[in-house]
Order: sequence, then C-alpha cells, then structure tokens
Amino acid sequence: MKKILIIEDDLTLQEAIKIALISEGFEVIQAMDGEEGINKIKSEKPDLILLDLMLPKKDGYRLLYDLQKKSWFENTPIVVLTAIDSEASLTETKSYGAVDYIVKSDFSIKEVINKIKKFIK
Amino acid sequence: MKKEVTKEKIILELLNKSGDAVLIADKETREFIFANSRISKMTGYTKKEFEKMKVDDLHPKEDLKKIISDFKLQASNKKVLTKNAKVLKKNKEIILCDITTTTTKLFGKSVAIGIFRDVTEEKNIEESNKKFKELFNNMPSVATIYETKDKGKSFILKDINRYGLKKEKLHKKELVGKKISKIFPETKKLSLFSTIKEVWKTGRGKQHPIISYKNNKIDRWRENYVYKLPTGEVVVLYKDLTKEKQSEEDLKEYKLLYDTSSDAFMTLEPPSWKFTSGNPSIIKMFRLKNEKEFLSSEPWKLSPKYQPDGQLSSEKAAKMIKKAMRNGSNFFEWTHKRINGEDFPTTVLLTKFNSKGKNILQATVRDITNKKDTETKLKDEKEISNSVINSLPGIFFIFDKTGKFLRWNKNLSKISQYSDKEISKSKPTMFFTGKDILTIATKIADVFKTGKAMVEVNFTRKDGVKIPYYFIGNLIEIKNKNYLIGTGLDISKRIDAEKEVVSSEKKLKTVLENIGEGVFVIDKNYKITMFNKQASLISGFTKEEAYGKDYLKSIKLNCETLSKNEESFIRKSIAEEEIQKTMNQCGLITKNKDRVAIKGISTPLKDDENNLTGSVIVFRDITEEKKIEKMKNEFISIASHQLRTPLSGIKWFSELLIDGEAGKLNDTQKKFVNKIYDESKNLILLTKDLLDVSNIEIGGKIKIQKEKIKIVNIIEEILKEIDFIIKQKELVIKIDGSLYKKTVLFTNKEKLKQIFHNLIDNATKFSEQKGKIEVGYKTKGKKEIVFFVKDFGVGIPKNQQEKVFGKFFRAKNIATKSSGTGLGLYIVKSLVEYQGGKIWFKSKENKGSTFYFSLPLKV
Repeated sequence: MKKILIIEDDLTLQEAIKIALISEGFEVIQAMDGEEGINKIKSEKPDLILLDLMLPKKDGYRLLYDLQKKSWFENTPIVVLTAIDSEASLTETKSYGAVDYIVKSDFSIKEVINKIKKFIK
Repeated sequence: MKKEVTKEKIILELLNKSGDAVLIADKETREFIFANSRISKMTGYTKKEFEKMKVDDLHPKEDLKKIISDFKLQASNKKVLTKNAKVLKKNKEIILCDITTTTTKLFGKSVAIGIFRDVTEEKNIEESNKKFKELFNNMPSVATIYETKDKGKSFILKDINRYGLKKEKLHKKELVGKKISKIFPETKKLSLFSTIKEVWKTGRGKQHPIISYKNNKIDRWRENYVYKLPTGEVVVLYKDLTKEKQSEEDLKEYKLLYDTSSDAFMTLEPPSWKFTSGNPSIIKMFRLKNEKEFLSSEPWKLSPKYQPDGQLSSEKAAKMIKKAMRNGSNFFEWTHKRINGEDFPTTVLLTKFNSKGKNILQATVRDITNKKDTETKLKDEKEISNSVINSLPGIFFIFDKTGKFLRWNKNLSKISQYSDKEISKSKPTMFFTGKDILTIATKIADVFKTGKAMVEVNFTRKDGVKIPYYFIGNLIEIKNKNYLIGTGLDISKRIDAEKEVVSSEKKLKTVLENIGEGVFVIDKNYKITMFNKQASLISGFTKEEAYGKDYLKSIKLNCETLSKNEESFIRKSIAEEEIQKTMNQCGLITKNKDRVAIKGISTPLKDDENNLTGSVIVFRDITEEKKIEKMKNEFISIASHQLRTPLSGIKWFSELLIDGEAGKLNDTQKKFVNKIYDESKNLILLTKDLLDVSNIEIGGKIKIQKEKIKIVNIIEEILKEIDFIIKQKELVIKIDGSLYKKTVLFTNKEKLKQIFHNLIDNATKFSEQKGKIEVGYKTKGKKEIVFFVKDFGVGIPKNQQEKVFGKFFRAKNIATKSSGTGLGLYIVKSLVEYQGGKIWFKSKENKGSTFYFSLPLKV
C-alpha cells in the first residue's frame, strides 16, 4: 500500500483529499505545518508528498529548499497543491524539485488524484 | 418804168429817212412791202423780216379784228387814224401806237401806208398821272406836296392827300399855302426839313425814318419818303409803320423762336387737322428727313396708338382739338412717336387763331423726355429714400441747429410713442430725461461744431420707459444750411448680452479658478496664458512664474519631454488638433522636486475661422488615487487567494458527495449537490478573474522577457478544455490550419492562451445549438498579426457595444442565459494592449460577432 503525506494546514481540504485517496486505496498520513512535514518525511518515508505552499512555521518554498539539502531525503516526488495561481511561484517550486504544481481551485479531486497517480511507481 | 421806179425809189428813200415809223402793206394781201429803219427800231424786226410778214402778224389777236377793219376802211386819199393800237414787238412786248393810214398806189398796187407813232410813253404818263392822283388821294400814307419860292429857304404846302387830312385831322384850306415849319413844327427838330431841302437841291429822293423807342420796344416808326417832282415840287410821304414794325419785331422774335426753338411749332387746319406748316425742330424732334416728309405725314403717324392713360391717341387728340377750338387754347401732356417708332413724352399747347378767315390751330410741342426722366428720377429718388429711411432698423432723423425736425422715419414715432405732429413741434431733448438731456445736448453741439458725434444714452419713451440707444450724428449741409442727420440703434439687447457675457465670463473664471483640477491654457507657441489655483497648487509654481512662459517651465511633465514624443498628450493635441489624454499616467516634477503622478486631457482651442490658437489642459494629481488603487488591488489579490482555499473545500466535498463517498445519494440530493459544485466552480472563476484584473492594474511593473510561442499548442489545449461544451452544443469549430504554424512574441504562454480562451469560450457560450465558430488570422505586413474569432450567435446589441470592454460588462441579451463574471473581455483587452496590440470587434445582434486582436511579430 502506497503511503502519501499531505502537508496542509487547512483541515477541510486535508480531509477531502484524505477521503478520496483512501477510497483509491492509498495510506494517508498528515502534517499540519512545514516543520511537522519535514519530520514526517524523515520518519514515515512516504511514497509521495502533497505540499501546500502557505504553511505555518515553515512555508512550502522553504521546506522544498531545505529538503534538497537533507542527506536522508530520497527524492520522494513532491506535488505542490496550492491556492497560489502564479507563474513565478510555479517556476520557483519547480526549480526546488517539485514534480508538479496544482492550483487547488482549478481541478476536481479526481483530477488531482489522477495527477498524483502518475508519480507513484 | 425806169422813171417811175426812180420816182418810187425816191419816195421810199424819203420814207426811209423819215423820223416817223412807216410801214407799207399790200392792201389786198396785207403783206408788207416796205418798212423803214424807224419801224425796225420800234418793233425789233429787220426790214427783211418785215418783207415776209403781213399786218396780221404785227398785232395781238384781240386787236386784230379792229385793225383789219380799219385797214379795209381806208379809201383813197383819206386818212384813217387807229388810236392806241397794240403792236407786238419781236420780243413779244406790246407797245401802243397811234397808226395813221393812207391808201395809195405804188408799184402798180394798191397799198396802205401806215405811219406809227409810239404812244406807250405818253399813255403811261397819262396813266400814271391819273394813277398818281388816285394813289395820292387813296394811299394809306400821309402825302404832302411842297413848293419853294425862295430857293429852298422855306417850303409851302401845295397839296395834301385825303389820308393825310384824315390822319392829321385837318382841313385842306387851313393848310394850303402855309409854310411846313408852321404846319409841322417838329420837321426841323427831327431834321426832316433838311432832308426836304437836300432832296430839292439834289433831286435825289431820300428816305427819312423817324423812330422812337420806349422800353426797348418800338414806340413810333414813321417812314418818310422825300421826292422831287419834275415840276420842282417836293413830295413828302410818310407812313406810320409803328404797328407794322412792332408786329414785325414780334414776328422777328417769333420767327427766331420758330426757327431756332427746340420746341416744334406746327399748324393744323380743319377739317382733317393735317399739318400745314412746321418749323425745323419738328424734323429733329420726330427724326424726319425734311419738312416735306412732315407735311405728308398723317398726324396719327406721330403718336403711338394709345396714350399712357389707355385712350386711343386718335380719340384723345380729337377731344384736345375740340377743347382748344372751344376755349381758344389747350395745354396738355402727350406721348408722341418718332418716325423710328420710339415714344417720347411731350407737352402740347394748342392755340386757336384766325388765318385768312379760317380758324386754324397752332401747336407748340415740347419734348420733355429729359424733364420727365428727371421728374421720374426725383420721384423715384424720393420714394427710395423714403422707403430706405422707413425701413432702417433704428431711428432716423434730421433736425436743424434750433432743434427743429426736418425729417424722421416711422420708427421715431413708433418707438417714442410721440405722434408725427408732436415730433414736428418738439426738440430732440424731448426724448431724454435727467442727466441724459445734458449729455445729448452736448453731443448735438459737438456735431454742429466738429461734424460728428456718437453717444450711448437712454432714449425715454412718452410713457417714461427708458431704452438704451446708440446715436450717431453727422453734420450735413442742405442749401447752405446746416443740419444734423442722425440714426439711433436700440442696444438693449447688446447691453443685456454684454452683462450676460460679463457675468458668465465671471462665473466661468471663478469656476475655472476654483475647480479641483489643474487647468492651464497655452497658445500655439506653448506659452501659458492662463493658469488656475489648482495648477499652481499641484506644480508649486505661482501664476506669475507660469504666465507667458513655456508650459514645461512650470508643468514639468516627464511624458512631455522631447525624448518621449509618443507619450506626449499636449504637444500631440496641438500637432494633430485633436483632444488627447495621458496614456497611462505621467510624472510631474514639482517646484520642490517632488514627483507627482498626474492624468490629464488636452483640448485644442480654435478661433471662429477654425484656426488653432492653442490648447486648454486639465490635469489632476493621481498620487492619492494610485495609493487607493494599489490598496484595492492588493486587497483583491489577497482576498481572492484566501477565498480560493475554502472554495476548493466546498467544491471538493460536494464532489465527494456526488461520488457517493458518504453513501449513495438519491437523485434530488445529487441534483442539489451538483448545484453547489457548479456554483463553487463559478466562484472560483470569479476570484481568478478578479486576480487577473488586479494584476493587470498593478501592471507593467514586472518586465518579463518575451518568448516565441507556438499557437498550435494553445488552441489544442483550449479545445480540449472546452470539448465538453462543444460536444454538448454540437458546434462546428473551423480553424485555419496554417494558424498552427504561427509563432508570436508574448511574455508567457498562459496569458496568450487566456486571450484565445476567453474569446473562444465566449464564442461557444453565445453560439446557438449546432452553431459555427471560425478562428483565423491575417498578417498585416511583417510587424503585425491579426487574429480573429468569429461566431454566428446572438451578437451584441448596438447600444451596448461601446461598453463591451468595460469591467463587469454583461450584455443584456445574454446576462440571464449564461454564466460569466463580465471580466473576460476586459482582461483580454488589457492583455492585448499590454503586449502592444489592439483589440476590436464587429457585431450585429442575432447575426454574430467577430473579435479581432493584433499582436506584434517583432519587438
């Protein structure tokens, strides 16, 4: 069973995606802020990370930046799932290794899950 | 025979030499046998001519009978005397002869010897004596005969004729034998006496007139003729010619007049009233060739058929003649006709007079063409001047130095309310009140002094109402007298207008001065001619610093500097003579070197002849506005981001519900949740559009390198995205295949896609079921490409077309039928213009719309 980490401070959205992923047969673990996210990545070793950008304690950009420098990070695919609809943001996150950039509001849950599925081996 | 011949020869010789005129004729044949020299001389016939003549040839027929009978009567040795026989001379002259005839035998023939004695002279003298006596007594002159017994010292009256006695009222007895000096004492004084003496001495007759004048006219004219009779007596004959001379003189004058007058004189005689005489003027007047043509002219030929009063000339002429005959004379106007057909006005004077017992008419015709012309002209002139005066818009008047009105137009009485009678009795000052009286009196005096004056003054009507008037007075001279000719114009309207102008100008000035916008006016040389308070507040320069100088000295605008010609709005408006606005915003450097953002509009000013005179510029400080705008955009940006997360939650949970993650829903539940899902999607779209708009309005700050973008991907992606609706509506989308090969320069693909997306999305939305959409392009030179998206749908109502690119615009015909934020086209326009392109459209309601946008192909 593939394990997906959702780093998202908004519980509602977290809940919606969690339901959808579970119903698709994924194991879902959650983190509420950037620091917790880093810790869970290290401890839980998920197969894919869904990352929000505007997070407390450590935002998504910082997290991406920091992860690149962690020796223990095993290049787990990170999909940015954010409300920020900006070209600059997209460019920036991709330069830090994010594999995809999904503007939350532009897609349905199904579309989001289909996108995620591509990055899980 | 020889003897006899000789004897007869001798007789003939004798007869030949005789002092008497002798003719011998054959008694039988009455042929002349002999004529002597004397008879030849008397009658003019030569002897030879006589030989071929007979008695019958020598006498006129009327006497012939008597002479022949006398000739036959002659018996031998009997003398017959034929007294006063008329003898026809060779030159046909008749002389009187007493002819004594005797009959004798000569050459064996019975001949008559006639001795002719010319008694013509005797007869004449006798005759003349007789006649003289008769003449003397009957002559209409005073005749006197004088004799002198003292060798011319005195003359005694011997005889005086009957006329003389009558004229002098004397008796013959009282006069005869008396000295002339006693009978007519004035003869000496008038030197008649010396004439008589002279005539007596010389025997040559002499004329001696006695003339006296009175008032340059002949008073007495006595013509004296003095002759010496063969008897030595002197005849003095005098004739009183006073009357004759007087009439002669009159006649002379008349004749002169008759011949030289330009008037035509003619006589007309009854019953036909044809012309019987005419003077030279007639020929000239009627353009005739000569008098003969005149006398042969029918009178009707010299008049037109009708007179100006419509009467037949012939009928009217008859009336005029009748009147002249009845009254003795008649003077009237008449239209005559020249022989060349030209009519001309005349006056005619017909005078009746008696000539040889006949009443005839003398006519004097005067051509009055010139007079008539002048009269007509004068009349016309007066009529014209009257109508001109009366039609003048203002008051017109002429008065003399004493203020007496000579003439005025109807307006004066109409406006003043005074009657013409009142005006004629009044003075100019009547029409004024208060201090105006003094003003007008002074001005009137000025006119008479300097020739001209003008004044604005209140004209007071009879009812006291005052009307402002402008009077101009000029001095004129009529028949050596000075008058003031004046006109007055009602200027109340002008004064009202002036007041209006002054007050509206004042208002305008106050408004301009205190308006919250900076306003300044420049002339076409960019020099400031007006600068309001706000302009001064914004720029920091005072009016004094700004006036008369180039506007850039006080309004230092970075968009107006020469290096940025494209952004200049003031210079552009002057150059193109069109209203120009600042493109986006423009920086103004104040006197204190602060930077202020402004927006402005420059409107060219033109004079009445449409020549550019300068420009008026209205501008405002938009620093504050910009701050607010920025805050607004930031707020929208944040809000739309913040809204997106909860909106996504709504969307996703409704999706989960639909998918049955919370248990199976019944159809109604599903339908409701679907509505929540759709509306959340719409809300998300709205936040996206709002964000786009705020980004555009903050705009232009981030300059991103432009890249070449292939159209093909964009269109394909869009078609994929809207595939659902295309299928649903069964739309046919026709795309120009070569479009895919095109690449354009654009800052980013997403934005370019957004342009196409919004346009194609609109086209699908507003197409009917099974509608058609066309997407294509056309290059415009090498620098530009124009794309178009065409639909055949509902179109945009004409009255809403200008709002199409505005924010939150939704056309009325689609507002309730389809969803949308009303920001799509605003975003498209902003994106296109940001890239240096343009966007426009053509649309007709119910026919469809075509949207065009241009983009540059090169930088």
